[in-house]
Amino acid sequence: MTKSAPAAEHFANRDVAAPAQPAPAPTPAAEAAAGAATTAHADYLQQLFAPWTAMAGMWNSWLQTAEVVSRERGLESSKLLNRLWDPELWRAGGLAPLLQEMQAVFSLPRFADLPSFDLSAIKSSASMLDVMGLVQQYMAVSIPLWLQISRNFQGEIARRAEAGKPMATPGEALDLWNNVVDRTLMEFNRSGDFARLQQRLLRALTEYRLELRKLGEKSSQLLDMPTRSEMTEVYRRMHAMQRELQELRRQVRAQQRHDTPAVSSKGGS
Amino acid sequence: MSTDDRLFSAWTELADFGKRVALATSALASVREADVRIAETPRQEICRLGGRTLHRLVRTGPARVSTPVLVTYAMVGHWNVLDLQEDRSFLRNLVEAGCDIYVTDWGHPTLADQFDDFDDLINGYLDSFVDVICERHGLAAITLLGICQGGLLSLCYAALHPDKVSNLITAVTPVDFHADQNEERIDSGFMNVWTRSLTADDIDLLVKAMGNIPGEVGGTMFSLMTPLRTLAKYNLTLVQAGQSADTLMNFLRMEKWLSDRPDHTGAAAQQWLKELYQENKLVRGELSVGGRLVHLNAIDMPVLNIYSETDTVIHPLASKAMRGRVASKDYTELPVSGGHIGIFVARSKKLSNSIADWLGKH
Repeated sequence: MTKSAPAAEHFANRDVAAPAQPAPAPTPAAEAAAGAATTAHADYLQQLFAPWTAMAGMWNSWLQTAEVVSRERGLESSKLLNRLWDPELWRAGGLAPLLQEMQAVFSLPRFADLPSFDLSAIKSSASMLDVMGLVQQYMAVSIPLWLQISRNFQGEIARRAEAGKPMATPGEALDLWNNVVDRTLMEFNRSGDFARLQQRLLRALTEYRLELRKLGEKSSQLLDMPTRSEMTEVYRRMHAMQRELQELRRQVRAQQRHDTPAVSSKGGS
Repeated sequence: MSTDDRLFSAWTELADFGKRVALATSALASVREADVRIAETPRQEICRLGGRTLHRLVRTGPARVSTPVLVTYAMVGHWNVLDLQEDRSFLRNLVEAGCDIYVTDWGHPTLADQFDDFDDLINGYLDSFVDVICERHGLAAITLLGICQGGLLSLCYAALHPDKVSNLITAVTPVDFHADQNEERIDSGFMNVWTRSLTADDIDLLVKAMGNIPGEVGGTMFSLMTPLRTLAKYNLTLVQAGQSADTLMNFLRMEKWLSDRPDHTGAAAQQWLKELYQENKLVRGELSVGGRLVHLNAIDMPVLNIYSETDTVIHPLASKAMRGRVASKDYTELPVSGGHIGIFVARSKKLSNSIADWLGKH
């Protein structure tokens, strides 16, 4: 580790002024010399304190830096970190946006010759956590649904018994069970609860897939393989060319029809 | 009934069920994948554009209808369900009734097809196929027969190119995508409810992530639509089907078709789900295809609109909404009984004969 230039200068000056001298007579010349010695002492003290002053300056700079960092990033990041303790965040769909905000809060300008830092790997994990959370919610909704089916089935059996038409055979009971299951599931599948849940699940799965694709594209770039985005662009251009080709074919057909008109016109069989 | 009687009855039923399971297992063990064949009516390939193909079914009998018919099925399923097996083939029945049948085969779209939108499907492929058929028969116009989503594409084509369509037949075709709200039924219009629960942004994100909408998404929708049928398919229904070789093969052929779910091109799916299911642009006169608005009142040729009152996929009101919106003076509605797919795989020739009769008069 090398010393910084100002620090090396301080230490060099101190080495020159440091040698011990015998006390001179108090003559004008001596007084002058004493004055010079006082100055030398002052210089010595100044040189002695200089590293301390420099250190204090450095700490002060760091304190100011810390203040700036705290002002610019700290408040936002501490707010974000505090949100991690909020149970609502851990409900499906909350973590991925938080990580996105964190990436924005901690982001730095891009440097030409330094690797860029991103949180894409963490984001795909967050998307996966979202999916898992939603699957759990799905289970939480589905299990009571089967209890509801059982209650409906028992209620139906009781109604039949009261009406003097109890189940006579297991086959009859199975038919009734199937009807109850069918109706209850159909009602649930059309309900607002189900619609909201499956909408969130679909979205979470889609976002997870997109995050995975980003990771896959990085691997493809490393291996010099075409990425999905590049292939999509190729398909887009190919599609535009196909359209042009079809239009040209259409024009040729129209020209051919013009040259040799159809035998019969529109009018049916 | 005493407790002993009940126990005896339960044991008997259980033993009977066990016997049926054994019989079904035995029947299933004797069938190989290669034995399950569908779409066996002879056909020839007429034209191919990318992954899309125009087939012509070979007619051996005399022609009763001179105008050829271009049949277009939905992109979400393969057309071969229309030719499931010899005695359950909607297309074969039409051919035997004397019609010249061409079929649009959307193939299995790949990511290379993801930008194909309604403009490509209607003004690109369909228009090219219509031109090819017109040229082969020396005609200026042909008959279009569109089924489900294929019906909507045929409808749009007829509105945009009325001079090339002599007759239009639509079957179980949605026109008003919000009509289900006028008569909410627990067993119908699930797809409408589901799509409206999404935001336009969800659909864009799905297409961005997947490129095309995977066929499995459609499969999941159908499973949610009929949850018990899905849950019971391989325990109760298969056991029931396995009691005879004939019903088992019917079941397996349908399974083969169901397992082959093509992906839906991304750009067209965005229009289908957002502009139609969510925004209902067709009946509002706001649907734009290739930069041109689709005006249903541009449809002036004879129209036969077929729908089923018991259709669980397309609400009958959604199909019947065509009445009064097309300018055709010769507009006929034909209600049929059966499911969305069931009407095309039924043994009965009633539907195909009705179509052939109607065509014979036009």
